[in-house]
Amino acid sequence: MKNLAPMPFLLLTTALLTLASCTTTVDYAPRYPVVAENTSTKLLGNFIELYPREFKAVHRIVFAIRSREFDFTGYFLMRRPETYHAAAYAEAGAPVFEFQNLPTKSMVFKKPDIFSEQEIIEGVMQDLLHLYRKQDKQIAVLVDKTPNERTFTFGTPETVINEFTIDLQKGLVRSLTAMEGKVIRTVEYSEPKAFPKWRTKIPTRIKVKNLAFGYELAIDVVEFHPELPSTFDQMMLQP
Amino acid sequence: MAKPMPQFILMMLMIAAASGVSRPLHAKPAAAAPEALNDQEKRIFLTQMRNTLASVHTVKMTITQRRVLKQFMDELKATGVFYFKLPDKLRWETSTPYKSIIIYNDKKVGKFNFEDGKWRKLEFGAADFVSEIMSNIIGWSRGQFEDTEEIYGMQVFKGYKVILTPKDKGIAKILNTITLDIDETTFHVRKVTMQEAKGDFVEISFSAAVENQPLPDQLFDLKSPTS
Repeated sequence: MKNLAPMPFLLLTTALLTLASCTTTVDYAPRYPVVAENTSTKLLGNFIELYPREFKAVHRIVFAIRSREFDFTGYFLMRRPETYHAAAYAEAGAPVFEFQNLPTKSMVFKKPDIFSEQEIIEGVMQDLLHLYRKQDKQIAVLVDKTPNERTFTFGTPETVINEFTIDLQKGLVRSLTAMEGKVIRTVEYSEPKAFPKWRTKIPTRIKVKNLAFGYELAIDVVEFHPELPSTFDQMMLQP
Repeated sequence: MAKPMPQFILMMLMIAAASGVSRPLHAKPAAAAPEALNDQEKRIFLTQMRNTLASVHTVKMTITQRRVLKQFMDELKATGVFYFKLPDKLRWETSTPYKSIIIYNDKKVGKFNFEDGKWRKLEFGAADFVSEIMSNIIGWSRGQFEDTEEIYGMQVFKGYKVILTPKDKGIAKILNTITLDIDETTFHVRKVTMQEAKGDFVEISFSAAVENQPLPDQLFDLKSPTS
């Protein structure tokens, strides 16, 4: 075997590691407030209340990571702003994932060995929070206004910022998360659909690209129930 | 490495589908078992099952799967079609509430997802795992249950009902029993119920079976899932 000079070897190793992890970094361009008008205020209100305080959803998910794809059915109980319990099962019923997010901690009860706990806690669980957490209206800033779209940010560029773009006709169409000046997550939303007992159409096709961990989630909302029954086991959303 | 429990669940579902047929769903899983067969009766049952199913070269049937999650207060029903063709071809096609297909052909596995109006082949991460399972399924679907005796205790009850109970304590923490309802005459599996320790269960029923009809090889094409 040929000797490799330290520097080229280091470069090669770094390049291969980068390729292997499939992670990419994209700079987040600073955004500046623009003047809001009635339409923007109304869109923001609708976005904040896009989902009910409590709901149950069933998702069909394709998880693409490290050039491999895994599909499963996910069950999701949400109590906004940020408490949820999720479990996923393979096609024929085998349990794959189970985890719970509380305001104070995140817990993983079940996961396949091929996924690290970090990928679940800091990746997938944060993705779900980004999708379904109730954002704080008080910190919303309108940063872009086009004839068809309004874009709002929540948070501060110095720490974590979540940005959501709402189409006047289609509703929520895309979002992203940036941390320390880098985009770590992008999301595309489509196929808004109405469900019984809920006033607003919700996106039923959601594509998450997690740039920090180098994976993608394609999520289809199969079922959506905008309330939890009275027989609901409260422990599912408690420590 | 694959965990035994999910692997076995998947295996049992495929076995049932590959061999079996028709009875309406019941509201509750795994009713009380009737009289158990003794060892000699069990051997006779297994021999009869193998001999009877030896004449089945192809099967097409409708499948109805119920997954009941008590904690999630959910009962998700999935429907689809299953195809089996000797010696080594299986196709599990889910049509509602989403569309997907698993094809097994000559020890290879293809997984397809229906997206944006067309089928897309996944870079299926569990292909090796599923292929290994499938390689055993075909033999098992012919009634060779004794292959699992080291892992699962097996009881056969008149009816017929086969109940498999995990011997491994780790598996038993998750899975209570796997129950197969088997037709007394045709020896087809009519229903499989997996009762999990937390009270959740999965139930698969089989209906509208068509046996020994020609099934084109295109149905088992690993590159393109012809409908």
